[in-house]
This record gives sequence, C-alpha cells and structure tokens, in this order.
Amino acid sequence: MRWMKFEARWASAAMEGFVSGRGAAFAPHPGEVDFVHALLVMGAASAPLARLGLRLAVWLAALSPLLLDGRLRLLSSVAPEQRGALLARLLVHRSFLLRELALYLKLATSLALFSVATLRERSHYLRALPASPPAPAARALPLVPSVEG
Amino acid sequence: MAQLTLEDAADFVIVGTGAGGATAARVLAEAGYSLVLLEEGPLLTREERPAELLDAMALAVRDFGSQTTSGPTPMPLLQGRLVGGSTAINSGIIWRLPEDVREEWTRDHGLGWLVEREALTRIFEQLELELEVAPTSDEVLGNNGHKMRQACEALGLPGKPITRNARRCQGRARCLQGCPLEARQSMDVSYIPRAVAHGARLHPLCRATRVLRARGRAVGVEGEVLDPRTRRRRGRFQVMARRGVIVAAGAIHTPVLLASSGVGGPVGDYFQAHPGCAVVGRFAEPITMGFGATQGYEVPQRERGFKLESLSLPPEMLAARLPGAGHAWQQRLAELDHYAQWATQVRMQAHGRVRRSWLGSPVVQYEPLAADLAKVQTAVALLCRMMFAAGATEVFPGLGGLPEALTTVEQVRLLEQAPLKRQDVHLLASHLFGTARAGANHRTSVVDARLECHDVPGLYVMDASALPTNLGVNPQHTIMATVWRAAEALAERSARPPVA
Ligand SMILES: Cc1cc2nc3c(=O)[nH]c(=O)nc-3n(C[C@H](O)[C@H](O)[C@H](O)COP(=O)(O)OP(=O)(O)OC[C@H]3O[C@@H](n4cnc5c(N)ncnc54)[C@H](O)[C@@H]3O)c2cc1C
Ligand code: SF4
Repeated sequence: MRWMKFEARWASAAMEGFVSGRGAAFAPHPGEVDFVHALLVMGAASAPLARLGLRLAVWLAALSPLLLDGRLRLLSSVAPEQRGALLARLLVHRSFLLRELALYLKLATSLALFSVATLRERSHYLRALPASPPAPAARALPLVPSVEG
Repeated sequence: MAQLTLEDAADFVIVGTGAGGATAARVLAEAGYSLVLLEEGPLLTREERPAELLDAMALAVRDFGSQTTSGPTPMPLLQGRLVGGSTAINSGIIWRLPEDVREEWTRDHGLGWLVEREALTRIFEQLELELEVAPTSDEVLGNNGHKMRQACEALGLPGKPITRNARRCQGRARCLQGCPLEARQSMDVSYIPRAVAHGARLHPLCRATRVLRARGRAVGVEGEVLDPRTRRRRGRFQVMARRGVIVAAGAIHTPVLLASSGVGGPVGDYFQAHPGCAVVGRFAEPITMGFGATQGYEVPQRERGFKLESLSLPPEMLAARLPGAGHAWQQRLAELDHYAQWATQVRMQAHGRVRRSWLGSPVVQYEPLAADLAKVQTAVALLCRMMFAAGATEVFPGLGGLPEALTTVEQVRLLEQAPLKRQDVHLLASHLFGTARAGANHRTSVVDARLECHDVPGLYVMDASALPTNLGVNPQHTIMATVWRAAEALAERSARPPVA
C-alpha cells in the first residue's frame, strides 16, 4: 500500500493526536514512535477492504475539524492539546462507520506505540511481574527443507 | 525472479496444517503412509515468533485480522495462517464434545459412527495424553484469572480453572502471538513435527487452488508457491495423491477450495460461529495481565447459550480497548497493569454462507439473530456485574449507546433497558463451523460420516468445516477427535492395494 507524502504527514499527525497533551507520564517523546511504519505493516498484511479503511480513517481524522466543527482546517494545524479532543469525539460519533474508522486508527496507533520497548515500560504493563520458573528446553522441530528458491 | 515449480507425490496430500490437517497427518503418518502437507502460511520457529503484536499479527494472523463478514456491520473472523493453523495462535482451551451435541449429530445428521461414544472417549483420552492437557494451575492463573474466581465466589457462579493443552505453561500470557516457550501443544510443536519425524514432507508457503480429478476421483492438488515476504505468487506446484486428498483449510477456505474444484452440494452453506466480545475492568490494585495463562479461568453457561472466559490481552489490544483519546487516554496508558479483561463466546443460532468471489477470495454472509444479540446482552451484563463483584472501580462494557465507563453496579441496569442493536457491539469470531458439513443426507451435507465427499471419491474434508453445527464449547478438541476417528478408518481402509 502506497501512501502519498501528504497522507503520511496526515497519518502521523492523527496518530500523535491520540497521545497528545502534556503532563502524562506515558507521553511519547518526539521521534520515539514510527507511526507510519505501523500503518505500512498493517496495510501490507491486511485485506484490500481493510487497506481502504485505513486510508479512509487517516482522511477522516485529518479532516475532522471540518467534519465536526465546520472549520476549514486540517487536524495537523490544530493545537496538539485539541487534537485528542477531536479524535475522542470521532470515537463516540453517532455514525457507526465514523466510529469504526476512528477506532481502527486508534488500534494502529496502539500497535505503533507498543512496538517501542521504552513505551511498553512506561505503560507498566509488566510491573511487578512474578518470576517465572525456568523455561522448558526448546524442542527441535524436525523439518524437511521445503521449496528452495 | 525465476519461476519456481514444485512437484511431489505421496499416498495422501493434506491441505492445511491446523487442528484438522495436523491430526490427520499424525494418524496417517504413524500408520505408515507417505504424506505431503501443504500450508499457505509460513513456518515460524520459536525464535522467529515476535513479541510485539504488530509483527506477530502480520506474520501469523490471516489478513492481519481483517478478514470479516460482508454487510454493513462487518465482524472480524480470526484465523491463523501459518504452520499449525489457528492452533498456533489460540489459547489451547480443551473441551470434549458435549453429550447433547453428540446425540443431535447422531439423531439428526446420521453421524452415529463418527461420534460413537466409546470410540470418541478413547480418542479424547489419547489426545489429552499426547497434548499434555491439564487444568490451569494456581501458580500460573494470574490475577486476571484469580479476580474472575473471586467474582464467581461472590456471585455463586460455577467458575473453574480452564483445562488447556499447556501443562508446562509458565504464564507468559502470549498464547495469541504463539507460545514463546512451546509449552502450549499447538500443532506446529506437536503433531506436525511428529508427522515429519515419520516421513511426512511439509511445504509451507504453498496455497492450494484446485483439487485435481481423474475419472471423477480426487488425484492431486495444484496451487501457488508464495514469496515469504510479499506473499505474492512466485511459482506453481502440483502434488499427486495416490490414495486421497484431504482438505483441511479451515471453515472459510475449505469451501472456497471445494467450490474452485467444482465440488457440488451445499458447499459453504450452514456456516455457524461462536461470536463474542469482552468487558474490561479497572482495579485499584495491580492486575498485571502480562503474567498468567492467557486464558486461565472460565464460567460455562451452556444452558444460557454462552461461556465466559478470562482473556489477558497484550498491551496493544488493551490500549485500543480503553476509552478516549489525548490526555485522558495517555493517563490510562501509564497504568496498564491495573486492568482486567473477561470475554464471552456466544453459541449463536444464526446460519450464514461462505461463497467464492470472482477474485477467488471468500465472501462470508452472516448476521446474528435478535435472539443471539439478546444472549450477548445478558452475557455482557453478567460480566459487568462480575467485575464489580471482584472489586473493579470502573467497568468498560464496550457497547455503543451507553456510558463508556460504568462506576456503580446499579448502572449495569442501563445495559438491559433496550434490546441491543447490532451496530452497538463489537463482535468477533474465532470458532467457525459447518461449511462442508458431514451427514448422511446428500442434499444437506457435503461429506459422509467418514468425512469423504459424497460427490468425489478420494476427497476428504477433515477440519472445522465438517462439523455440522456449532458446539457451545471451544472446538479444537472435537475437530481433532472427529478427524482422528475418520483418519484411523481411512488408514485401515487404505491398507488395501492403492487405487490404480
Ligand atoms: C485467536 C484464536 C483463539 C482460539 N482459541 C481456541 C481455544 O482456546 N480452544 C479451542 O478449542 N479453539 C480455539 N480457537 C479455534 C480453533 O483454533 C479452531 O477452531 C481450529 O484451529 C480450527 O481447525 P481447522 O483445522 O479447521 O483450521 P485451522 O486450524 O485454522 O487451520 C487451517 C490451515 O489451513 C491453511 N490454509 C487455508 N487455506 C489454504 C490453502 N488454500 N492452501 C494451503 N493451506 C491453506 C491455513 O493457513 C491454516 O493454517 C481459537 C481460534 C483463534 C483464531
Ligand atoms: S500463557 Fe504463555 S507460557 Fe503459557 S502457554 Fe500461553 S504463551 Fe505459553
């Protein structure tokens, strides 16, 4: 799936928008997350309709100021603190389609965020992890080499 | 790149290496037959299984989880696409075929031989021994499971630790990405290696597109060799079968392959599923879903048409499930260890259809009935009550038209005030059935009690497609047991000289 340069910029701005707002302990640092990479991986592995959905989701988020408030602006030109609020409204929009597309982009954002080890740590997902007993030995998988390229 | 051509031949060719295909391979290889196993997905060794969901899903889950039903409210249909099939990414929950379903299949579908009680009991016992089946121990139940147990005790519900094929589980909560310790006995670490050790030849990245026939009989399979990176076609293969072709591509892709091969009858009809959804709760104390069996505790409610299970999510999925965006969402993300999640799987009455599109891909038409949605509503309300009973401070029912977070148990009543609308619930299904179902009647079934096609001698369907109805319990064990029974009989029958 190819993204035009402006679409990649819109995508980054929208996905950053989900984690915009200062002061929270989790806040990603500039450049810490490669949002567009996650979209590319998802797009490449998804069904054609879902790929289209991803693109629509990016457009929807980018044009949300127009769509929700009638303001002729792009999400990327809205102050970072307000981007989250706009996206939050999309997530509970009365239109099923808009809600779903916004949620799809939020899922892509989560996948991008938690590919980063430092952010996994800052989420404390594994805080106070009990020590596991030693791992069982790996069992060799007897394989017959298949197709050689 | 040069075109690649693969040619091979064996007694049996098996398409698909999931619960059904791998079990057929286990039985036939050890009975001394030569086998070729064709699998569309890649082979992932323990070292190659990524910890991050983004890469794990791209490698192992069909279409990154975006295979859905068609229609205005698409429902994701999750399936594995790798050696081991869906078992490589499932939770290893083991349930025997319920007696009422066994009786129904005997009475209404003429499957008395396939599900004969004594034979099935013997096979279940053998499977349970070989696949290290045991109840989840307290040590690896994890807080997500312990909290569910606490809720059951408070509300008097019949909860119990889940029986799984993972006796050596260390509670790494990563079953859905493929167990990093190979503790869970999915087919890629159990029956496929076992069949290969008995001489079976495994060809990953080979997608079957057509079953070949000669004088009406199935004699081989042809298809495409796929590039491991792009998954595009990089060559072709043709594998001849001296004694039979076994299709085990799962309940969505088996009917597509049969239809592409000109098999008649109700191929793709009678699709059924156990769709489900989940409820998240926030607790004041840490839960740490990252430790514990991915699914360790359950509340069977078959008589009410659903089942409740603890389901530990990786952080990526949990994060997406929490409400809001911006600052509020970030604050939740900074304390992901405080959340628990429990899910429901509903035995729906609805039937759907799987058809082959003109592009060759599946189209799944399926809509839950009003009665099915009523069960979802009851199950979600119960899950919410259980969360509060276990001490949750906030509960996220995940239903549209309701507050995103409930803070008191009284608010659960809001859920029950009006019938649930389809577009207000995010359903997804991973238990899929019935698209090439077995039965005695040629008009209403595709294969007979021995899982051989009514229409095409030498062609067998040995996977979830052959189960005539859904079950109300997790299906892997029943798929494996019915396939084992049919494969055993096939091995016996085939001991006669091969077909000329
Ligand atoms: C996330 C998840 C969790 C689950 N948890 C549980 C659980 O805990 N307990 C339980 O009992 N069940 C569980 N299930 C369901 C269970 O895994 C399936 O019901 C079962 O694996 C189905 O077996 P199968 O042989 O029909 O198909 P699969 O196991 O899906 O195998 C089909 C295989 O065929 C391959 N294939 C498809 N088309 C082609 C083709 N044209 N050519 C070559 N290969 C092809 C696929 O890539 C796949 O590997 C879960 C499923 C999922 C997805
Ligand atoms: S919970 Fe972890 S260790 Fe246990 S079987 Fe699943 S992935 Fe393996």
